[in-house]
Amino acid sequence: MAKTAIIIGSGPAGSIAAWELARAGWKVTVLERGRNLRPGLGQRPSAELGTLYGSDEVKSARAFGFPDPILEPMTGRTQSEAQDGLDRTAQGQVVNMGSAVGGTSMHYNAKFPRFWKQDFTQLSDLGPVDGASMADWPISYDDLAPYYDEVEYHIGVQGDVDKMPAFVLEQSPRSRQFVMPPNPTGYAAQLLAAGAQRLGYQPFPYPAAVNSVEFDGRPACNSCGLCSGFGCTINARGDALVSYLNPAMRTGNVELITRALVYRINTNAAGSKAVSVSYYDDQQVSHDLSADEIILGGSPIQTARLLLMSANGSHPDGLGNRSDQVGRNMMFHNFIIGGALFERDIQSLRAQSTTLEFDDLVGPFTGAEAQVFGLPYLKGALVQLGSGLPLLTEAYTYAGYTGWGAAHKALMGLSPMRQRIAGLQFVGEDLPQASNRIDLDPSAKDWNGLPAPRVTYAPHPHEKAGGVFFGAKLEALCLATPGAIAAAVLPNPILSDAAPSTFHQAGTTRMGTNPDTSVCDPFGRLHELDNVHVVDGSTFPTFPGFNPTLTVLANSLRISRHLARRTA
Amino acid sequence: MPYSPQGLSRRSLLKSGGALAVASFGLQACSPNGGRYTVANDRSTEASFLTEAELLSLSALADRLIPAGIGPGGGASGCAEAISILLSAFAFDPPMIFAGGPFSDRGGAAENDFLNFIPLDRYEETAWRLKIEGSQGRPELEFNGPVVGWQKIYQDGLARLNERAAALGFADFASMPAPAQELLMRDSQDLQISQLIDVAFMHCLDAMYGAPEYGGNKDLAAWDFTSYDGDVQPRGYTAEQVTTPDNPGLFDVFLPGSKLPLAPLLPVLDAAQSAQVIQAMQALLLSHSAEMSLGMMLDSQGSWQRVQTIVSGWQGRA
Repeated sequence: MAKTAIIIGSGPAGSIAAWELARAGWKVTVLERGRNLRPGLGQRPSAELGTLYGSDEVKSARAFGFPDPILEPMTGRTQSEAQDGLDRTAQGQVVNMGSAVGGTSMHYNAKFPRFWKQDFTQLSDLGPVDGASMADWPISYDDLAPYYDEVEYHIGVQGDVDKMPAFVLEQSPRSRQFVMPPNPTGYAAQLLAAGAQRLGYQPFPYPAAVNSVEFDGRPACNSCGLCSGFGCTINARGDALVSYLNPAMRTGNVELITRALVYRINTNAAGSKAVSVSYYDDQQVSHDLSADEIILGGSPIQTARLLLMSANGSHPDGLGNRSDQVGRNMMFHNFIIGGALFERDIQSLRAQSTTLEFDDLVGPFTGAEAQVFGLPYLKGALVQLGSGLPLLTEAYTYAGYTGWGAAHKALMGLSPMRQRIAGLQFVGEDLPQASNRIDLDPSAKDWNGLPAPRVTYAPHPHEKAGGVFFGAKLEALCLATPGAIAAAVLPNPILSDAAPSTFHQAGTTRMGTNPDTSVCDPFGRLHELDNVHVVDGSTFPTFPGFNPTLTVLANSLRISRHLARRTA
Repeated sequence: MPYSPQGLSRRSLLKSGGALAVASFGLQACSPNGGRYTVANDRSTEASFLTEAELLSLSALADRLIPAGIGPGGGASGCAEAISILLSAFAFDPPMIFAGGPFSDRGGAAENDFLNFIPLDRYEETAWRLKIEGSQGRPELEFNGPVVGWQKIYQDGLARLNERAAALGFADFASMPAPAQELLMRDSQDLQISQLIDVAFMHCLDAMYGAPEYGGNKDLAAWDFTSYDGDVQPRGYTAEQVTTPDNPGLFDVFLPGSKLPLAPLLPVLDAAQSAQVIQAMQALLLSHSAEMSLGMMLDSQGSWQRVQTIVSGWQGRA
């Protein structure tokens, strides 16, 4: 009899797990809290799927493909607000991920760098940091490398090994060239790259799961620029749905249930094994579903929330939470945003979202720049060069500053932000802290009456110091950009202690070998339950400064393949 | 619910009531407009939640929120009509919340898919009825307390504007001179007016700068005066359009791709680091992260106050 699995969440982590287990002959049920936005799913090859997405910003403003901020709110507060006894100071989206079949990958911009070798051994290499719960990963780069390679070739990642600096390849060695060449580099990104080169940095084509040529029957990207927040209207982007879930469903081994919000994992009396999950459908009717294995892929916030909501007599503080680590070490990327201002329109939106990166600021920096802040080291991040903004986003931003009336209209005509700023983003590493955590809000609820997830957060002094040190370097870069008439940077961790508004999220059920300090074993299995695995970014012990989706996919594939082989 | 494939449903007629003109939306002749195509916005107000008089007041309000000048004002752009459609979204089948996809006919597609609004499932219908109609004392919708719907905010707010206008000796709000209208709108002590402005400003921005299928952005004038290409798919851009500037500058000779090998001669820059310029730039920069700006959009919930809170949070303790 075939093994059975329930996978919670159909984003990258869940979809690739479904694909792997289905190929191994398992019968898989995927429970997804969002709806399907790709007509034909499961019925037609991915190249022939329709889409309900459009190049339509009003849909973004109306949270299309995201949880509704009133029906499914998140709440948030900073550490100092928590110390002041405040239950929450923000409620709404806060830092929610997308909710649609395919998860947040339905409207990501598909940047696919690998993590580096050094990221897996940070504690051993660099030692502890006061106030941070540093940990090595229980796996190495070499353990993950074959999965990186497999995912890149399957999903279709553009890039050019020959243009990657030697120090990058030394830290993230590759066995072969990318499956397709880079897309054309936008004009604004070229300008910033010239500035970067003047400072001795080495920009190179950003690996991205975006077709630069026809791939797998899907067309090449035509650089419309509307990537992040938009479903790709021409099907030119690899994602969880087209690359994994749809092919998995077409094996006949995967059933997808949409609008299914799992709210509890039920265990046997001893609490040693999960026996079923309970979920609400879109009529708010509760159902129970059983399987041999329960696989959590709902992203760090929802995975932690589900484990905490699953508390029972055997697991009084939440499922698998004897260590009190579930929900802790919530990490986000701490962005530093920089920009160079130009007199004329530099058409920054007219390109695939961010086609260049440079890694010269990844570090670690262990000299005076760290010591002056009383830190053993500063770790940086990759820097994304060039970005563009569409019109309504610009209008909303000005609304936050000028309010309504003539000033707003004049700014829209002048368009300093959309037309005249070439932007860059530093994807800053966030050191893990036990007190940065997800828990259950004491009173805010979702529409099913379930407790809302709450994030309590503050950046570590490491992130604030990085804001100063790397911010200065990025401002210099912007000033060195040809044609720039002014430059500025905004180091997010210095501006606010609130959780950064980003979809880059990790932690909450970290992997490790010690059950006292980690939630999952190196293969994602909860230390305390035989048949519950976490496959999403919750498992990351640390969160290096690289876009995480590729690593989420590779790690989930590694765990799923192990599970399939172990039980074969 | 088990997943069942669902094709794009064609736009269908109103659930009830006459208002045939509404159903004819989008079937009007499309006329070329500077290489793009304009959708005629010919909507009846018969299905409108707002009365003719309220629409008139709302149009005057839209003209103050987005005044005419460079480009038309909010009134002439159809903001009031678009808001009326939003408030009456559930009078249509499917409800007019999410325009269809993937393409309008402005980027080379033969048909305009945006016109086929997307049927909502129960989750979405609950979410959008809650925003538009409010919780109306129903306990199952008040899990975090009562929600005042936009319909009531508009109705009460517009009535309040007219009431205040009458007290000042004007026939109604629309008859007031623009400066007097502005003064009234800036009375933050008046709760009904400030609640109205809070939602109306964001809804006007959606209508003005969003896709015309939502009922605003008449003649695409807002995309014209902002030099915005709008939705360009499936045509997209060519490699040359991506890599080269429409308006080349002399400094392009310093780019690596330049035919003149002048990059090493790039002069020391005299960039204007004046405090005001930097302050203004910083104020804008965070939106240059796709992640941050998307978060702002998603969390705005149609409230100007929320946008201000989010954006001022970015400024934070700088």
